[in-house]
Amino acid sequence: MNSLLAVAMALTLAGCSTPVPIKQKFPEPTSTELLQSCPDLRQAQVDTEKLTDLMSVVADNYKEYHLCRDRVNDWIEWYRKQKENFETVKQ
Amino acid sequence: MWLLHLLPDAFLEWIVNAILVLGIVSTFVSFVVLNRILRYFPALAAYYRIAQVISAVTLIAGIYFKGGYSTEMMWRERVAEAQRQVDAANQRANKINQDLDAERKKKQKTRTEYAITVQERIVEKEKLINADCRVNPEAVQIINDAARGGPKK
Repeated sequence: MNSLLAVAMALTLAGCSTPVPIKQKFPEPTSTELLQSCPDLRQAQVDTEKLTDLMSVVADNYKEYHLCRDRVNDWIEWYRKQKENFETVKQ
Repeated sequence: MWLLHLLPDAFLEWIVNAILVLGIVSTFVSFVVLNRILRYFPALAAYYRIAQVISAVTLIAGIYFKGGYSTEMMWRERVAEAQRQVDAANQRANKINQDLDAERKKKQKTRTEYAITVQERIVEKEKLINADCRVNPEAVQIINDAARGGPKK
């Protein structure tokens, strides 16, 4: 009798709980390139005497800098827009 | 209450309304009408009080269940509304991802193409640039040190 009463009470109390079925997750970036870290800068050959070889290495490094800067700015933009969107859902 | 989710809404509403209506009708009958009928059916007198108690309990239960049902429906509507908002936000998040990806690919392509044209110009003017200039190895070393960016941690 006591065990029956305990089961009945447990069922009744369980019925009082109201689980919240909705969970909002912050999105993940779809681009894997955004998750890549910036590469090391290229170095010129130590024995070179040609200015053009040096210029080529420097120009290549400038390119890598710009690509890396774009990646950082894209991250910032992605986070700003996704956060703004995330907060539009009223709790 | 999660137990109420197991029953269909229409069936639940029907049960709750039936109990409430039964409570109202039986209370009215047992408290107002019954004593007038008892004059003609004295055999029912013994059940008079019992009928009143049962009808009152049924009415109270009906009101309680009606309140509980209304609360449950209000909660479900809020949950449904919140789910709609979350779904809309997820769709917008996917759109943001797509738009930013497209923009980034375009920018990357522009940068890479521009870098190629710069390299081509260096190759084109190679003889002219190297004609009057020999790079000191010290200069190369300093540029390489700058590219390293300091000792590795």
